[in-house]
Amino acid sequence: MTLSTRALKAFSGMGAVALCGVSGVLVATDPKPAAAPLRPPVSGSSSSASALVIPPSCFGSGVATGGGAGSGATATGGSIASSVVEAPASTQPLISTYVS
Amino acid sequence: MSTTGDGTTRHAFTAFGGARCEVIVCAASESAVSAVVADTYAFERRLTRFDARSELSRFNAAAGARVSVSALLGELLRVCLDAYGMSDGLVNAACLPALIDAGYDRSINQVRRRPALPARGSSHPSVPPLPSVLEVGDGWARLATGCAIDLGGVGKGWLADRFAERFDNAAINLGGDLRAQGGGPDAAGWVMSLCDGRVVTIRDAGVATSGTSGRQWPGGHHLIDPRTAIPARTDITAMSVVAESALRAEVLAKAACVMGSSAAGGWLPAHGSMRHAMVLTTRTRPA
Repeated sequence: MTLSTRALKAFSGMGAVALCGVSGVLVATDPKPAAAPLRPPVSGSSSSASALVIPPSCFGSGVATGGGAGSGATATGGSIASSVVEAPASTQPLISTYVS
Repeated sequence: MSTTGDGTTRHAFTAFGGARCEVIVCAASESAVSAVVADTYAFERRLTRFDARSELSRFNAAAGARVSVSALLGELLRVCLDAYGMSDGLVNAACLPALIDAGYDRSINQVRRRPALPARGSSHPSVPPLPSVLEVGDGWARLATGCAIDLGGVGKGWLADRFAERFDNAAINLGGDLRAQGGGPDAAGWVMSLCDGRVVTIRDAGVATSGTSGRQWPGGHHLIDPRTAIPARTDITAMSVVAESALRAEVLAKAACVMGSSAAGGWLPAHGSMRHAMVLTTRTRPA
């Protein structure tokens, strides 16, 4: 039996459509996670906006110094110095703290 | 979500059993704020003690056996051990059985709606020292039989610090555990009020407020004194601490509440508090 070129092309096309259809059904029925997994890297920093970064240690070896009513500048071995200063009484706070 | 004319984006939401949370960022995209909210919910789902399917609940249920843990849970368990050391043992994540004995055995909203339980003591004389019941290795951890972990505010403080690292200029408040990064909208610092009403300006620092007035119910509150395994008998209603990070602020504030005002005043500066304020049951004492 011989098939014309046109018939061969038609059968090939129908086969491709059937294959895509089956694949589509398999993908659609594949179970998906209920939520995006949270997978923080073990170390280092990341520029990704949605990755949790675990630092080598959250406390480190240094213990911050500073008094309860001093000028407020305190550094603890990091490159960024934390600071706190009393604001004028008339200042409107942007954030109010509350008991968690 | 709202964006003001100065480019500040502000979004408030609730998580961690109804706790108020807020993200304020300067010159950052709304998608970055959305990522913080989504990751907060994902964190809560994975580590809540109120869902038996969470990784933390499964870890507690496996007490007695060495089990595999994710990098996230492993890190948080190590943070709990650090918090225990930094607080001289007063912040003890192994307090969960005592917390349940005190009545906090379901979400705080459900506990508050429930009629008051008859007074009962803890079934344990004290909470065991955390390092004696928790081992954490590379990808594994083991909890002693009969023990259970509650991450509590330590988890929120740690998460606020991690989120703040994503931004140059932002304030992340997760249920009272706040981390401020950068100089705020006008570059002069983040202006915020402490629990006694005083206003401070902070930069690259954490603030946490703890106390007995938050998660309380008829006959109890959530601050367990590990030395007695019952809710702390303290004269502090609320305590705000400013420290280098939200995590440290949380640990110091909670420990100070447990020890009471007479001991806390000297203890806090020696342990890294940059500023603190407290509200006592009878009066307000500025630091």
